[in-house]
Amino acid sequence: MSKLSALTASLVAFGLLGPATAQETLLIRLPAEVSTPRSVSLGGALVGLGGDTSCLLQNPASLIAVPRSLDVVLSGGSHGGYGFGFALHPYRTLAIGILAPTTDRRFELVEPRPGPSGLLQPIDGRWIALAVAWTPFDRRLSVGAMAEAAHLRLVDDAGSKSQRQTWVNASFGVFVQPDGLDGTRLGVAYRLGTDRTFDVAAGELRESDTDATYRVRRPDVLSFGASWRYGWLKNTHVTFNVQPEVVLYGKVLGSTGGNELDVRTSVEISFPRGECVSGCGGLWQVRAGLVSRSGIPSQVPTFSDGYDPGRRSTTLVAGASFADERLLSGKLKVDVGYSRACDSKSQHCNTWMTGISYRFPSAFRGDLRHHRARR
Amino acid sequence: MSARPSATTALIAASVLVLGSVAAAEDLPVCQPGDAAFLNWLSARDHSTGMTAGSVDRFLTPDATTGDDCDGPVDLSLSQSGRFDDGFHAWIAAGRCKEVVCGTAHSLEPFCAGVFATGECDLNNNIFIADTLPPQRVANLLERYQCLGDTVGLPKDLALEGGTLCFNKTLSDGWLLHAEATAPYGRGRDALKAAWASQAEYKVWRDSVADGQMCVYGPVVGDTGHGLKAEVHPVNMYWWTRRRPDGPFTLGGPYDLLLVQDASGRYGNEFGYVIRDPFPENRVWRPWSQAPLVGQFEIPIWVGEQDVLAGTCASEARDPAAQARLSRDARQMRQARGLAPSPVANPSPVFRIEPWRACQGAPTITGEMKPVPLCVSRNAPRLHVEVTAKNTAYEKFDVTADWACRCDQPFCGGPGYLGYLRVDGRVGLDRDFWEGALGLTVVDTRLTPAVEPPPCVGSADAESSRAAQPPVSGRIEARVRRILVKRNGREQEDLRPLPPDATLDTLLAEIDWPSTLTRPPVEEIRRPKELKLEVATRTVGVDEDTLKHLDVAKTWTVEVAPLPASPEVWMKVVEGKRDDQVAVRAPLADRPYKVRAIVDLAPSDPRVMKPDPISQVLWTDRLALRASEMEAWIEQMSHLCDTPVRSRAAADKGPSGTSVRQLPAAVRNLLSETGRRGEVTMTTLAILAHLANHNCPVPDSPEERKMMLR
Repeated sequence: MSKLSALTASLVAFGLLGPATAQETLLIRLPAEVSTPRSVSLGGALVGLGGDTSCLLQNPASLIAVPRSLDVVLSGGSHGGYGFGFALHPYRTLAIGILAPTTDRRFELVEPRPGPSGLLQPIDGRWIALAVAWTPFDRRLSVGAMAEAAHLRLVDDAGSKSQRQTWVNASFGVFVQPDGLDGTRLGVAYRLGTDRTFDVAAGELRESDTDATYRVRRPDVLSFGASWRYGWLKNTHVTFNVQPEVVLYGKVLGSTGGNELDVRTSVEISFPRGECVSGCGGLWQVRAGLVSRSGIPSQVPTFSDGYDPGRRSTTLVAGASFADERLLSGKLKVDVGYSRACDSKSQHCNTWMTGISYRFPSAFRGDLRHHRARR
Repeated sequence: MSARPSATTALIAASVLVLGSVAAAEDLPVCQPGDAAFLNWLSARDHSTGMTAGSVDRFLTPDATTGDDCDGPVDLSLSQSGRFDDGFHAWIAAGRCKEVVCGTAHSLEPFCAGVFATGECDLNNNIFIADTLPPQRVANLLERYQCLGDTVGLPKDLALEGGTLCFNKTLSDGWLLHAEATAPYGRGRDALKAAWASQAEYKVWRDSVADGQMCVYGPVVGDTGHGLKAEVHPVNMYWWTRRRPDGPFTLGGPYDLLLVQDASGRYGNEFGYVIRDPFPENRVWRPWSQAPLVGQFEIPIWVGEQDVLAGTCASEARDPAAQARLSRDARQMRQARGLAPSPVANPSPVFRIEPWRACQGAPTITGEMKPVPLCVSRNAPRLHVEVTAKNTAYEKFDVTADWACRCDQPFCGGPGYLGYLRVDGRVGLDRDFWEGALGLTVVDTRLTPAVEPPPCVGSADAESSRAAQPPVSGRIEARVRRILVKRNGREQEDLRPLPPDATLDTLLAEIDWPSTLTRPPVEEIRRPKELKLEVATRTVGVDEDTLKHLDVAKTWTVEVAPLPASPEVWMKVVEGKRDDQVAVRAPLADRPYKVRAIVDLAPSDPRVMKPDPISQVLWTDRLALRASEMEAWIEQMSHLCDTPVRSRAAADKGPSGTSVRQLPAAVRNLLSETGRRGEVTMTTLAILAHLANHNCPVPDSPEERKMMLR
């Protein structure tokens, strides 16, 4: 194989070249990441926020905002979503995170051209994701990378499944964390998409009499995130997050579609529980947000039941967390997250996720930091 | 032509400076033998390290306000407001302020095993503070809360009730304080490890320190995770000298000065401190090691007339980098104009401030730069130092000198000046992981031959020292404790108030309360529906690493006997329960019960000896006291043992022994929770009755009385 051929093959493998060929059925996987309740309830707007294990999927560089030294999360929820992960931040300039395993089957695979296949669902996720955040030059600027062993299989209405495919994927990010606790945090992340081809034998899916080839693609996403914090009342603060994302449909759909903009916004309010100045009582956090997701551009069919994959949709997300001093001195936090986004049949609208998190040596009430003595 | 006006101007300026300095020096008082300035200087010079240190951020208690002093009592209990609690350990302040603690470098207890999990690398020193008369301030602080069992013999079968704590004096001739700080990541950690990474490095370092005397500055606390171990934690400042001045006017040094911000991630922000009441308006409390951490080292100095220059230092920046720029600019300007070098640009420095090295070739905390002369005196005459240590944005220092008086007589060292050289440090950035440290050495350049750092220990020796750790042979000390207050500060037990009447007689008879002793002024009996018991343990003889991984399984058997007991009938209410805590409920609520808790302790590490099961008793009922009479009764009880113990001490070692001096304080500490809660527990009354009935018996051996926590 010539060098040029090898390069082309590599680019194709990473989804950087060309749409599907005419013999294949192209299916689009919407860009979505479900990992933990906090991530769900912030609508995935963690690129410019960071601060816990789940952020490694959105922006690996934001792991550097995990408080020293350990943050562990275990979560599970509806639609087969679950996850376990931990983040370690033992050194000044280095943090690592591992998330293993996670799954998600909330969103259908959408066929952007009229065709015979109808709707298929993915069961996708990752066996393991490993992320590293590094602060090489300036303490405020970190870079990060994440590699994951992702997997995917297709499921039809009847529950029949294709063979599972496993491959390596990656994402990269930059994170800016100013010195001031209430300073604006910024992040930029590039998440590589997916390009997998499934050769499905006759009868394997949809009681089909003929062999079929499905090419499943998830577009690359370029995300910009910003978060800032506002001290409010005693020991209470509000964190605002905005995360516009450029979804690179153009590379997936070729000339038939352009890039689109998704916007994720969320608010997180942290406030104390109990009559206590610090170090005692508990922490409450409530979160809510909206995710405005573009439709899949160009030639998207409107299905017989009125479902239009080309239409922009808005998803409501919400959630809460509670850490009390009686739970390992506030080092244990119980989380719940909720997302409302229906599938094409207006079913499975509600996604719930619950989890527990553990942090050491600091406690979660440290997130309340506001009334600090300044010099 | 252009040089002439400049030279004239310089001459005029120099004349003004000299005249001004003469006037300023004239303002400086002449040292007099009885003057406070002179006596204070002598006193400072007399410190074991020939210097001292301190900080403006000294208060440990959140209720402190500007103008408070550091001498008031603190609530040495698990309820203390302002204690630091990480969920496993609580660090309880033994005083209202950070303190200077000086003593002999006794031993090293490094713990760097948790680096990856928590970033923790503790290089801990144990400092021995010998009993002296008068005692050191820190000894006085600790003796306020010294365990009563150090002074008199106490019954060992009584459980603890509540959270009153005390310090055990583990040595007979002084206090051993554990000085702990987690070394900051990076250069600070590398440099400190060159002194304290292992016993090999420690020995080299210790041998280089004059008389083994070191000082630290920081919070004096009790660590409940180790049975209220007396600690300075986190240490903010360390200092020592490598040659102590032989007399007040002889030369000494070098002085090694370390300002270290703890990097354990614990003490740097206020959310690990348990603070229930709002801060006062004029709050002065800060987290014990929050950045920027500031500190001032103060070295009393004597310089001869020939060592200083007339005049005052110009109002130039004292930052060495700025000073270097100024000197360079001035030199270049003079060279350009063909002038001779200025005498001010090349003064003879009396002291040199250089980066500290634990040993020759060891890494430094503070960076090195080319020597820069610096005029540091804030009043005339001018004192110059040479600075070779580099300031950085978050690890800064400033050097100043203040004259105390001018000497012209032999009693104050002959013609010269007495004053203080002060090094102010400021380290760290208020951001996770960006703790800072400063390490400087102040060298008196007049001292010849110069005292060099010791040669570093060879890497092979260091490795073998690390490998040859002493075998672990630990043991567990334990006491049963009744929990009276929950972690949130609320009452643990659901209490039913009852009139004292006959029950009080039954209870006092149960503990043999002597008729000659004033009865407690009981207002009501408080009977709980349920008691909660735990085991307070302390593991000794093991290293920190073993301790962190040690698990002690507890198996409980609890019996109760109704009172009055004639004969005692014990009923098992808990049997074979494996837990850290147990709840105990008496069968009937209409009578008091005596409770006997037997706990079998099984350490997970075979190198830690399994102790015999502990068996300790307590009583269900608590006695609320009448507020009007409580203080008087406590005062009376505080002096319960004065006469017998004083007689014994006078016979043994004279009337001024430290144990006698602190006896009322020890009893008062035992009763401190009584005063705070307005009630007394039966175990406290049982101890008082025991002391009265046995004429305050001789204390047990130090080994026996460990873990009394009374």
